[in-house]
Amino acid sequence: MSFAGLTFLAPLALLGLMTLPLVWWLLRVSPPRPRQQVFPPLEILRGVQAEEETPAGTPLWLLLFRLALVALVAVALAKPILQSVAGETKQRPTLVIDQSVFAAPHWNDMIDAAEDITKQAQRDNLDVRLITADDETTAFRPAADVLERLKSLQPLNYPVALPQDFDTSVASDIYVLSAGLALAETPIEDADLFVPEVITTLLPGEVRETPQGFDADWYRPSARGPASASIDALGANGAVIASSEITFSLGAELATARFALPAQLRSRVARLRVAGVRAAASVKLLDDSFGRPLVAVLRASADTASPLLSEPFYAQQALAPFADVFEGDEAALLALQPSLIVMPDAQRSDSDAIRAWVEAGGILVRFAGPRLAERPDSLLPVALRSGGRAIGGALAWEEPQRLAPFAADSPFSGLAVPDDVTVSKQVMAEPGIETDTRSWARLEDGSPIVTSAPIGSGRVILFHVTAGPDWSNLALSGLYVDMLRRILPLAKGRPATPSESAADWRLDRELDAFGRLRTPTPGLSALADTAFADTSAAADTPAGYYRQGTRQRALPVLRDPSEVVEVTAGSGANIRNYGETSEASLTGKLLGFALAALALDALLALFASGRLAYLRPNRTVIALMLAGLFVLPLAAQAQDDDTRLLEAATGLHLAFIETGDTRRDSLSRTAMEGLSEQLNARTTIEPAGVHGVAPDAPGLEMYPFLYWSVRRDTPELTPAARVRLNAYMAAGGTIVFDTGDEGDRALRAGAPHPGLQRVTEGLDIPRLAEVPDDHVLNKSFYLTRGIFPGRWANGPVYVQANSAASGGRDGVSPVIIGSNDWAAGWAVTNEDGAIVDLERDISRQRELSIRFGVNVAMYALSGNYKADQVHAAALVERLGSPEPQIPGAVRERR
Amino acid sequence: MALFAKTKTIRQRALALTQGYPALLAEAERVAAVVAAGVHGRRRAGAGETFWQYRNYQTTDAATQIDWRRSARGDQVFVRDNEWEAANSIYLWTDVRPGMAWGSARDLPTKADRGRVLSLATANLLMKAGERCALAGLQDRARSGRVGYERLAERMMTGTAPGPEALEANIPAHSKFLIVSDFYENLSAWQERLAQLSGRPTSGVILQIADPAEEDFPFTGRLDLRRPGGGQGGFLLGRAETAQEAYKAKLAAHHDAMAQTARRLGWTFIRHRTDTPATQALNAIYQALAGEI
Repeated sequence: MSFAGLTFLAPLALLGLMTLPLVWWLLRVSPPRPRQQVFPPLEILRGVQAEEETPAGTPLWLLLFRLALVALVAVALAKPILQSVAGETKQRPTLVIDQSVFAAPHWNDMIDAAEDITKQAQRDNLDVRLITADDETTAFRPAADVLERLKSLQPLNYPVALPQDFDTSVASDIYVLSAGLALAETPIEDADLFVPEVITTLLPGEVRETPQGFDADWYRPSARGPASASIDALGANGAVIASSEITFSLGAELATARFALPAQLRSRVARLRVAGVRAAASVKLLDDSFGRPLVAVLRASADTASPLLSEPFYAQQALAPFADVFEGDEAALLALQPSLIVMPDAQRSDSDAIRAWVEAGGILVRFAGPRLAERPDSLLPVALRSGGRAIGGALAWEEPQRLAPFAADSPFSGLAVPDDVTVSKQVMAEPGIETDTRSWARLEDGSPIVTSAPIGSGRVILFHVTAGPDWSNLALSGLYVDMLRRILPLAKGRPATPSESAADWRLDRELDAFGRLRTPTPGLSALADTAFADTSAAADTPAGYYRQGTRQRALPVLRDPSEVVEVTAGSGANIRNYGETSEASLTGKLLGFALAALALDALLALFASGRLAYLRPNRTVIALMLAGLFVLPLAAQAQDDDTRLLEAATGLHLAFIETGDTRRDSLSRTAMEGLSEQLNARTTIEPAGVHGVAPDAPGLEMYPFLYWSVRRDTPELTPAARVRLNAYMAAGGTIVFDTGDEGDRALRAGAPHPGLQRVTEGLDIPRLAEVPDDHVLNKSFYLTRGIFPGRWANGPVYVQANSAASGGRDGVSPVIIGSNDWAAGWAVTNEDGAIVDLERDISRQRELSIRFGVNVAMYALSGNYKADQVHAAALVERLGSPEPQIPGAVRERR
Repeated sequence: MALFAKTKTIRQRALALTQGYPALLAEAERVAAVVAAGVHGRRRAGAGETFWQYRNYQTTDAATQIDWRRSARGDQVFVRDNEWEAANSIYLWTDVRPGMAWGSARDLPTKADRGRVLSLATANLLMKAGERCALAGLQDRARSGRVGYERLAERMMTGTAPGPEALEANIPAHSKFLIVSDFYENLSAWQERLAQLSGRPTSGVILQIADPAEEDFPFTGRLDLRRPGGGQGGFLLGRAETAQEAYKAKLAAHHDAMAQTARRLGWTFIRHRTDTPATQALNAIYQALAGEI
């Protein structure tokens, strides 16, 4: 039953409206209850004749109000539903769901739309036909079955075409729920076509290495895509290593994300994705062909005794940070399929194997030397004059030559040339046009010092000096490293088609439709080596990482992003966006109104029987209370902050973070007060008082440390609080996090503490380690020997790892994290005595707990001052006469 | 504890009330039968220990009464009179039946509380002057002095307050009474009781305490009237405001009749409303008992 966009799911409940006359009659005959009044002079009043009791009926307005209330309940129980788009389904609906990989980012919208249509059909008692890529049944089914199926439907991780081959002869309303993208252009006709309003999918293209990092191309397959996006570069563990913005200019399909990354970081990048888009189509998997090139350095096996004299040593040292460097002889290295081979003069070779390797795409970096000067071979970029050239030296007029600035077309362009790099000996290239074009670097007098020429699809680069410092001190300069680094990107990574092995590729990690890597489903057959390059992602060859021995290769979701086109509407199609139809059940709201009205009715009934008058004198009081509730706390807060800041600035105060839990806060306060008393009594720290502060309170810097009792339900911080706390820690403050659940810690089974996890999210917390034995916290005032008891004594305590190394903070860890419930141990005041019983894990636990508290305060205030030799004498004595270590029986010496 | 607290406040209020009053010496009737020996002279000759006057011997005096030492100094014969020293006994009775334990508003004391405060204040003033006081029905003997006052106050708070039958108990003649109640009972019942007391003979002060709501009848609308302390006999009043005039007239008639009865039998009738200060009532009681009216 529906009218005016309002549908009733249970229209019979509207019969309840028929009870309204009954309610009317009941209310008429039952007047409000009389007021009861105790009256002592009852006997005197008894004889007095009052006016006849009028049938004090319910006032008309109250009557109408109550009738409306009953009507509201009746209407609410009829389950009304408000639809913004009025009922459309008149025939049995056919749902065609695009399950392809492009659907993943819009999957929730699509399923919502499908459920809306199915529910509408269910209301109209119509069967539904569900057509998907992996459903065989295309018959009409009850709507409830289809709803079940929709719940379990998932997008696929490979592109599929929209299923079109269903029986169109049956009279049916066809709804095509499309992701907006498809591999082939197939116009949808005679149907309601749903497309997303914004197609967020971006498709990855080529990735190129650059001297600064790498560039990644991204395609926008639809003009309705986002104008800009953020590209994340992720490591193998899923952590974001770098992020870069791309912007598509109007109508442009291609944008390039530029990542500037040092080589070490760049080599760790494992995949790229569009930030915030959960889609496999928007993930670029990087495999062995990206990343650290494999560099082979030829060397003879014998000369390991004096490495500094061996030529390859310098090249190897220069390349090691940026590449995987292997050493060995020619045969062993060629089997590794390196992308770059460094060939010093002593190991020179122009064998067929090397030549074949270069022609297949290898980069050969050669260095000159006496042997090359003696006799040039065939694997050279330029023709050489035999003999070489000595510049400078005892018998020469010339000074040793310096390097000229690099030309703009040289790969070394932009590198600064140091003045002290000189060349005293070189091999000379035959002059000529060819030599000029192949020169990458020259001496000041113009003679080439680095030349290069392509051979086949590879390249030979010749340094006209030795790889070591014999002929030139180039090998000792930083320029040498920079030049070799500039050469590295020329190497095409690791060739992914090694010749020596043709084994099958086995799926290692599968990319699911939402762009997550997961363990593959078992039973997938391996992919033949030869077929890999032609295979595209499909059901039995899903996208993901494939492995063959130690090598890894990625099968992308799409081989060619330019194939992807937008879904178009053909004749008779009606394009709609997701989320347009929405229905809202009014039952809850109406019942809520009815309840509110019922509450109001109680007040009105009081008013009608004149009893509300009793409240009248209190109205001002209520108004004042309300005003007080809203106005006073604000004013009081500001006032509080001012006085607190003044106090904290003029005297040392201990502080704890107010959690809002009164019981916990009062314990924390007592603990800080107890600690203050102990500090006053035992040390020269004389705190003036204790402050409870909010995490976002101003002026936190004035407290040496903040004690924070974190519980499981502690909410996450506000951004303001995060900023304040980070500033506090950066300014040298220490936050003592205490989860106080050592008793239950075992039950957590290693899972992170939920409250602590929430609180520390966004806080600048360094790498942590358990307090080492030589940590200052162990000796800042008392010697505590690594036990930090509170209510418990066994919980681990974490501080910043190797905090002594962090210079700016004077060696003070910004956090101390533990679970021993220290507040329980410290809460001992002269007035009240001990408030909380301890667990008696160790003897004298209370005293040791207080000693730890004193140490914390001393540590936060004096930093690494106590890390020095203050306790040297005691330590030496203890080392000299080791006492038997009895657990719990700890003796301290000051 | 609560009872103790209440005791305290009532005592404190009574004490505060007595500040600024001199000790109250109850007027004694000039009757031969002395009730009890007291410490305060009545400024006339009578039984006592303190010398009052020498007077000439009269033939009605016994020979043993002659003060020979004084008479030997002259020719006349003198009789030595001592000052009459006597204390009066005042009996207090406060009605604490459920009707009295009621106040119409939260900030008004109940009638019984006000009655207790006034009784205690009166007793305090009287005992300071050396008079003897007792709670009718609760104490057999009238006592005086500080200890007596303590006992009286304690009994008043802790004892089960007796009903009006206490007034019919064995009470010495020529004692004085302070009767505190609202007197809403049958007029004839009170007439009978007062007549009996007067015939004993005793007299004293009648304090009628009323709550403002009882006098003004400010109620409106439908009213389900209940008897105080529960029990049957309540009734429904349709529109209370219409009964106001008739009720007020009837109440006034009742009060007048009560006052008439009291005055005729020689009692002092004092009216008090709980919304007026207690000092007004205490003033009236003080004057009545001191015989200034």
